[in-house]
Amino acid sequence: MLLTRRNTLMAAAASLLGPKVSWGDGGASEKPAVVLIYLDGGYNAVFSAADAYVPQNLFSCTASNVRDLGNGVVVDAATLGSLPASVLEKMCTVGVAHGASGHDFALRYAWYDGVNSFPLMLADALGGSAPFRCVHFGEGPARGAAHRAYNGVVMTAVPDLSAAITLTGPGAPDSTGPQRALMARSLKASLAMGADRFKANPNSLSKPWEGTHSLIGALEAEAKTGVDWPEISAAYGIPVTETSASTFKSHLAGAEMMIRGGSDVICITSSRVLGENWDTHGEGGGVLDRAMMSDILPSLSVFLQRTLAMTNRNVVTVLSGDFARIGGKGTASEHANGISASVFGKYIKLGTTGRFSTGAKSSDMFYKLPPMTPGYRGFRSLLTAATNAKKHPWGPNQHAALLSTI
Amino acid sequence: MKLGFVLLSVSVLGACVGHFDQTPPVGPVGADGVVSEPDSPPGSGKVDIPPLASAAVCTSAPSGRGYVGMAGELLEARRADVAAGVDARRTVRNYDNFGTWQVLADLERAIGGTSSGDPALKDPGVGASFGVVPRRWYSEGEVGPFAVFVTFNFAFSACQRTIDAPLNANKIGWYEHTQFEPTESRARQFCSRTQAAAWLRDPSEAELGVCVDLALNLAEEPDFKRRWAYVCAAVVSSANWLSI
Repeated sequence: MLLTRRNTLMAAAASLLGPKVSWGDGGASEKPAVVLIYLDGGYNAVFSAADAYVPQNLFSCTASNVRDLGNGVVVDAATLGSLPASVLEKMCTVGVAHGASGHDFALRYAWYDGVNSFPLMLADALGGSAPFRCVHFGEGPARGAAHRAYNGVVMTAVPDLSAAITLTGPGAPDSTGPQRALMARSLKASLAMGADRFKANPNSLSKPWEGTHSLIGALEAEAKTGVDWPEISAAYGIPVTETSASTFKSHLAGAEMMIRGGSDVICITSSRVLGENWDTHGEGGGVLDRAMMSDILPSLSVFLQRTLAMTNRNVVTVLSGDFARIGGKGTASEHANGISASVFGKYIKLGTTGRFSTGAKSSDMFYKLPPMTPGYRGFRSLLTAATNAKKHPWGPNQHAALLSTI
Repeated sequence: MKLGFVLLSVSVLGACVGHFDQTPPVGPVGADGVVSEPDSPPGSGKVDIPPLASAAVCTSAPSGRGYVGMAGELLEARRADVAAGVDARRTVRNYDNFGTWQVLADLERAIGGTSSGDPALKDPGVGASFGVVPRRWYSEGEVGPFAVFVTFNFAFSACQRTIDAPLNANKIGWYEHTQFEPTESRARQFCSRTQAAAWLRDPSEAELGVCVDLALNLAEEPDFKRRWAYVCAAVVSSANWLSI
């Protein structure tokens, strides 16, 4: 086991330091990327499949405050329904019958495939060559749980954008600071000096081991020309000097920067909005859910418009959470056992596999997806298909109706 | 697999040592190769279990013992297999002490620095870049690529300042060498002093050799004082300083 672990780390180092293979060797011209936006606590289906709530006015849904986008997709009019047409026509709702109605299992299923990290597996499947293949903003996916390297791909936290701006942009940090090539050479010496300690602590020191290799790869990589932080920060209304990556808005701006820098998978966890979390118990009227979504939507709209318009990128963005909410009367906003996730992408077709029933009786307030709705495996098969991934570890696309020909 | 088993062996029976590269099979869990029912003494077992390969090597203790769950499963079977002494080190955790980032302040000490008034010590961006500050006090920080980047950059500037104006106490045998082009002799002396000061131990010959090689292989940098700064920064960007 230890040897395997060390071998994994060595493989990570080898892949990071090895010859760079540009994406597109397989024939594709658009570098794919997946952005996983996770609303920690839940993603209310009023945003993605609101029609099921209308007959009973659950979560205050009525025929007048939802918007039918066509092809079965009905969303909350004031929030997701207010996104620009160019975004809405590239959106779908995906049913995920994961079966977990508790947070712990829901998080586990959402972020892991068995013992393996899902975002790292996805990054491996996309097959990019950037130094930072898979990154996360804010709290780590699954509330900071460990994501062990997968086939040489490691998870990197981006706690502040200043270093990322330098590393993903062109040139040296500044004329007086260390030069990229010499810094890389010096860091190789740092690794060699610490070799014995790394060898004796293969797990507890895996992050600096992996991270230093990633850093060396970034320093030795060719300068990216498409990363312009002043332009990106202006688009999101962030002062150019504000690099703290401490807000949802700055996470999205940072995500765009990392996409332009070549990252494969970007994870963003939204834990608190307006001082509340997305586990909206006590909010059967859906007021808090809508207020929180309204708060994050402007920056999300900017992000979606900009990423969908990228000509050299195929960016797929997922908006999901632990599960949908059931109840919708009085104070009842409880846990469903599946989710109707929203997915945006260039090759996504407006449509849904996430419509659900609230039950046979008019008084029922369940969340019942169609019987053959797949779980996360099917959801992930859509993501690899939508990105024309180099590997398809979750098999062929089980949501074929939601994807146009790439 | 069996961290608890290892810990049990170490704490109760003693004399177990671990070797990272070794995965030899150890003896059976019970002295007779079987495991007892829970809470019964080893040796009175009824359930056959296979020997458990482990990274731990017991040199004098007879063995530990295993336990069987209600479904007949081996409770120790899925424990992490970690030998004693392995993975004992942790990365340093940055924290803000009255507005000053402690890792960076300690870095100044490590290089015998003179820049205690450095504004970067109080820069929230620099501090945050060092690593994700965990939500819980008992959680560990994460020293990834950006933390290493920030460390190296900060160290490079701090080293430059120290090279330009070393403390008198740190000149002889240490920073005096940085006023000249690196040579093997000067590099050995500067490296050994910096490594010892930063790591709080003398470097091994291999560690010293890596440092000397770096000092002598930065010829692209025309300013020799900056070459020394690269060397100095490399020492404190290594795991020997970034972990405790």
